[in-house]
Amino acid sequence: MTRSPFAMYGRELGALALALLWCVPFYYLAIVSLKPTTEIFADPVGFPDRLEFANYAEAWAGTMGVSLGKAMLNSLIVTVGSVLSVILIGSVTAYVIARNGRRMGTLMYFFFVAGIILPHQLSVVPLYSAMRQIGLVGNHLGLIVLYSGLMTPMSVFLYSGFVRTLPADYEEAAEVDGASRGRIFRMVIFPLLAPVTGTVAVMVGMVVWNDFFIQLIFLSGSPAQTLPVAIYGFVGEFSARWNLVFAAVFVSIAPILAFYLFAQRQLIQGFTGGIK
Amino acid sequence: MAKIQFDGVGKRYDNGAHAVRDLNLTIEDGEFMVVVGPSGCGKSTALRMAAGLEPITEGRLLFDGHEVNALSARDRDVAMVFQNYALYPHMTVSENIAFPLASRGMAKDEIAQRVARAAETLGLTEYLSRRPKALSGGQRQRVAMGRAIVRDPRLFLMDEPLSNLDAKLRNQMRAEIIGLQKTQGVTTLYVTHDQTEAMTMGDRIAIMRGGVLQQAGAPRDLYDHPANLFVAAFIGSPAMNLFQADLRFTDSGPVLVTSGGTLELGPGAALPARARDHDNRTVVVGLRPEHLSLGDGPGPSLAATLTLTEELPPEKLLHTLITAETPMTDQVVAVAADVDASAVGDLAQDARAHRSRLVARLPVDTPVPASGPLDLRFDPARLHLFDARDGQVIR
Repeated sequence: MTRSPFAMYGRELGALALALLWCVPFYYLAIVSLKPTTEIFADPVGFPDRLEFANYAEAWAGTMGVSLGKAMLNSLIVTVGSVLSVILIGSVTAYVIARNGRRMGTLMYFFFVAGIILPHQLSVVPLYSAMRQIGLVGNHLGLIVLYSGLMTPMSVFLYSGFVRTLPADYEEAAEVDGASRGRIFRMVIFPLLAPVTGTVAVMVGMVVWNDFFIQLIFLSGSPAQTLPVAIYGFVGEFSARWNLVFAAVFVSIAPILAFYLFAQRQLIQGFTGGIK
Repeated sequence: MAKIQFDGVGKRYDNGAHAVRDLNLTIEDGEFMVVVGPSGCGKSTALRMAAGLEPITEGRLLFDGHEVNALSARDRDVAMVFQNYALYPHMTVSENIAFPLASRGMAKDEIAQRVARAAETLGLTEYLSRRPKALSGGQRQRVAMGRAIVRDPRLFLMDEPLSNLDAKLRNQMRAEIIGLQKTQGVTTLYVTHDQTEAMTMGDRIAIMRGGVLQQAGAPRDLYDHPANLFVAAFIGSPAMNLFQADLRFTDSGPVLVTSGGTLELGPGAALPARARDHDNRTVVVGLRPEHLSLGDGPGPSLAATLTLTEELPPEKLLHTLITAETPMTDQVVAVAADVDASAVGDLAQDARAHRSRLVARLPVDTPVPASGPLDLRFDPARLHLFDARDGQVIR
């Protein structure tokens, strides 16, 4: 059966039009970030009369003494630190739980699953109080510790499900080959967990990079403030400089977009791959 | 290399079930011992206990006279080839083979030399940089062997290593493993449920059933002198022909009375010494397919009906039926069940019809009718007699 070229072009155009819909927010983000303050509410959707590139320079200077570049670095430190910490703690914990057939293993598993369900917002006040006492408020380490605690249950859940599907033969072969428990995990098990590690890394990375609530509470006013907190600095009590907010948001999504474009193939493989 | 002794070794699970009971077996230094038996007979558990992957709950396991029960797998200095090879998928062939050496902290130069040597022995040199998924089944099997031989272990353990290969490759790898074992001279414990593998590879064979060792000995010894009905039915392809009969000693010599008639064995029939103790008792009679013949030669003959002829040059197999009770002891049923559930159904059907199936193995050029009645002749000296009550051989 030969396909009509017109039908094919029609389908392509339809798909393109649908894809363009996803570009609308980006268009809006771009034009507002380049509008003068006076035009934002007068003509929010229209193309600006003149492009105000100075908005970017002003946004880059940041608020409360922390530039956007510094805030981005802070976000990067907190995100990378949290991702590494969650991967390390989650994978080791899940391995022990999944390979422990006894009742204690099951209990531990449900303990972590319960951690996914409980709303962490309930514990913010006592957490803040406790963390301030031990000097973990207003710095990177505090946030990394906090996110590790919040995200580890989900990672344990994902990792333990994956570990259960791994044949025990690999570990047994390594054990007979003379490897210690640590070496077996490091050299054999952890590399086999690569697909789920990719999932955990992306999931934790997205949550930490985009989270606002916890970062606002634990970093507000400190030099360690991250991008969401720095951007929020442009929103005042009586007025908000939305063109600067939008410029800052545009800058803040750039690293994520760049990472996705760079690692697109690996990410898709990570989500869809298995042990081959 | 080491002498391995299972001294009353047993494996009992928390629910009280025994996987292995009172296993007493010695594997001499450099010997190739094959443990064979149907699924669930405890052979893999015995192997895993030797590896240190399964705790021993009863008895002692000795390596060169030293108890190793409490030693972990990594400290036993054994090498194991798994059924699905267990090659690390993220490592290259070279890294896979080097893994046991690196785990023991060997110097990099020494590792490289040994890996190169093992790869050369197994014809893997050009594949060293490949990942396991880029290899064929036979090559993966060789890599698994490479990982085992690379560090001169005291004991090779092999858990059905050929079961994932096709028949042709299996024959080739069988020969390679035998050659490798002889060259290396390492004591080997090889587990399989394939009796052809067992017969062709092992210096000795140990046959297990239900966690209990049935008999251990040289392949030919087990074939010619099975200790019980299970061993008799398990070893040999086609299997030993079995039928029930009453043994009677008359003035004209011993006779076997079946539901189809009386079979006179003749006054000079050389029966086992203790056969007289079974006078007037039901016994199970065993005859190997190659000990049946056609024609007018000496010896008694069985009236049979030919149902099927299979030509497998240089021989042909004659499938026949005789009127005699089929033994339905648990040992015979266990062997049939290992073949297939339908084999048990066939046995039950034969038992209800008071008939037994006999297979004769003859040279391919022997003239035989297409079907119908024929006489199967045999030498009474070739008969195997088993006690119908406990299945033990009558010696």
